[in-house]
Amino acid sequence: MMSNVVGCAPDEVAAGMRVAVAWEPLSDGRHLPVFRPT
Amino acid sequence: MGRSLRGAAAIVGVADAASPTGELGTRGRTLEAAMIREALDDAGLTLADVDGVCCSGIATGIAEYLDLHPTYVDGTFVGGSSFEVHVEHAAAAIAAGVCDVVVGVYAATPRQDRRRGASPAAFGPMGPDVAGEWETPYGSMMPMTSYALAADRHMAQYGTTPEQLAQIAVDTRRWAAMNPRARYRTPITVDDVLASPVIASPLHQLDCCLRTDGAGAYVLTSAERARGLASPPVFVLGAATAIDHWVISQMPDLTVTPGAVSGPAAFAHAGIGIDDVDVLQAYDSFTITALLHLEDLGFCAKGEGGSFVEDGSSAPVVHCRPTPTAAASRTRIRASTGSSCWWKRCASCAEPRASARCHGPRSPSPTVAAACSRPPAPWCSARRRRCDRPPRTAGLRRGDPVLGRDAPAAVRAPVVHHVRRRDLVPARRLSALSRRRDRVARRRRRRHVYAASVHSKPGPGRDAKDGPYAVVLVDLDAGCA
Repeated sequence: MMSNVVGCAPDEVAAGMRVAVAWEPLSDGRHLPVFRPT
Repeated sequence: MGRSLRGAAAIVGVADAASPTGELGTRGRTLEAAMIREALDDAGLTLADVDGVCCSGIATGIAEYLDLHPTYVDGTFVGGSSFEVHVEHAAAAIAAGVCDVVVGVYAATPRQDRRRGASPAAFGPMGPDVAGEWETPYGSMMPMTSYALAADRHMAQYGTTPEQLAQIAVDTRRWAAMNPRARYRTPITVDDVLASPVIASPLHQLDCCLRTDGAGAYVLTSAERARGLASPPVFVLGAATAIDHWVISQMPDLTVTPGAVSGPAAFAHAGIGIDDVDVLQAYDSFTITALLHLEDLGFCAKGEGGSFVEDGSSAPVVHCRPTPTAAASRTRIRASTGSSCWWKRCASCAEPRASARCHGPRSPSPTVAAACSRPPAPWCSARRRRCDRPPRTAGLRRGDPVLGRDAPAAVRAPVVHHVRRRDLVPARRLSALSRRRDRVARRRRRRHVYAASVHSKPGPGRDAKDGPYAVVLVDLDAGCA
């Protein structure tokens, strides 16, 4: 799937890093799954 | 017209849906899928038997929806008689051994669409907006994002470098320099490519094709008739199709295109091997595209495309290995759908009298391999519609309401393989951005809206390939036909 990585600097992002799902609220009340480093 | 289709194929299962109220309870892809399943049940067959899909529109989308990997698709739309045309085409394909079991489907729900206020689709029913659901919310900008994902994954998995990709652009420009109709003909260097602005990391501006006009057409006739015409015929020796996905988020492996399926099949039909090919015309929408085609068609092993091209083997010099001349399309012809242009160049290369224009490696009877593909995700919509199935490669379970409030607290963490935080755009801005996509793309040329991709390796039993879905081999030698 496609998503965004949040909560870290761009240079810290690398293929293979461990991430966990987080939920980003949308204005219509739904939530988007995004990922942040663990 | 000496041969007949009489008795070559048979309809073995049918299904239909109608209601006295004039309205059906389902629509779109859901309805299409139900019809296909019912017809297969009627025939005593299953989806696993299907290797051909026909509809009056995007047959690839139906295949993706049903997780089919057909070797034959037909999206011909000629109005109400499209479906009779599909039967004719499918019967011919079956007779030719291209496929074995074809499903054809149509579903239209204008009555319920009008009541619901849904806009009627111009070319049949719309399916779930997979891109709108799974890609647009994250800032995906087509087509750069899709190819950037493939490039970044290839780099992470195989150690391919930006310099190696840049070499393809450098070689491409060398081909263009010899073409008086090319848009840009000034030679460039690897440093030039790397110094050009990043469009979608890791792709630089000079890794990307130009936006230029182009046009072309071709004429195909029987071998018998071809021999009686004035032009030296270029006989088609083999062709094959492999369909896998419609949008990039559904691509099982970002580094493997379906050319890995269609390529060997086309070579088998042609009765030739890689070593017989003198000229290769590989689609080069982006440098990574040409590299993947070299690998998947078998000119080098998977993962070795970078080292294959880094010594300039795709440059216009007579080399012991085939050279992707179509790379010149980046500076010569780039249309939104350039297939017909490619066939023309393909035929030109194989034609002795045109060889002066081609400048490619020459032999008395060159064999030409051409690969074409579509952008992995050709549309980008601002609409977000619920999709009634999860993406194939996600770590989510079927039925997980990922866009709802009842989302699972934790999802198995997949592997992240691409993102640069500075390229990201807050999700809340995406609808507006998508509506103004082109304008935004121009304004943000140096800092494109971009998305991360999270990718899980396809599960066991999946050997699906993506990307180029058509490979055609032609040969000048009339004796081969």
